[in-house]
Amino acid sequence: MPKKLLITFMAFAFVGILVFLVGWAGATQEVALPQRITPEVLCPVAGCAQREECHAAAKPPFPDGTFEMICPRVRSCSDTDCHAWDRIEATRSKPSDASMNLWILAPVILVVTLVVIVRKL
Amino acid sequence: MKASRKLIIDIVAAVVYLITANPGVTGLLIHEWLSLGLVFIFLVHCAVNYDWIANTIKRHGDTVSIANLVFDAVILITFMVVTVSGIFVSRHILPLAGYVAPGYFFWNPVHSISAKVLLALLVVHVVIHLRWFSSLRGRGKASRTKRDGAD
Repeated sequence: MPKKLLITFMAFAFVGILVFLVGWAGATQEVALPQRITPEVLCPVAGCAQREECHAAAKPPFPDGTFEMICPRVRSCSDTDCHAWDRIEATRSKPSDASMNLWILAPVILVVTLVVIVRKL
Repeated sequence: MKASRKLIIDIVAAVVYLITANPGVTGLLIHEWLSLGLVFIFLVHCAVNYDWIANTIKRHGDTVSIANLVFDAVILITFMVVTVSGIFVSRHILPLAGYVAPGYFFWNPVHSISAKVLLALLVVHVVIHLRWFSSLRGRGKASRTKRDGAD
């Protein structure tokens, strides 16, 4: 069993490395390995230079009126205030109805229908 | 490995996956830590089925087995896309380790889309193996009937 686990782990790791390499080769923006957090590093999400605390760890990055942040939806907009933050917070981490229909309902209905058809045949 | 133990691993994997796949309910912190556990559980799930995988490849199994294996390989690739992209958009575990990853706006949509593809693939994977689950139930009933008859 340990040998099987090791071989399986190596297969997972190999595929993972391939995924990173494909992403690195295909991405149009900067993609690189994780870097150590230093005083010079900006927040990768909002480009915020706040050093004392991160106001994006648990919730969407909220504008604090002091540090300039890049809008995650309109990357060309950067401000200390945000006029769309309520909407961004409301839709964050929540799949849209269309997304739920496409990716959950549709495959379930399709597969169940196929199973029923195959059994009837 | 006994079929009943494999079933337990499969049920645990399914339950943990269903909880992990809902970060809107659990929050990001639980989502990230559970995801790490899920990688290990999926690893074990693949390892316990290693013999079937090896036999299908070595003996050039029948068409259905090979098709099944190819489908499982697609699931593996999708799962690793979800995992790798998840690591790169991590907001708790990676910063806890003292790291931050660039390319958030590339990996975030990749993570989101691949997670949905993985859900669809896993639904099909479970349906494909429904007969195995039913046969386990049948075996369980038969052995209980035999035990009751012997009494």
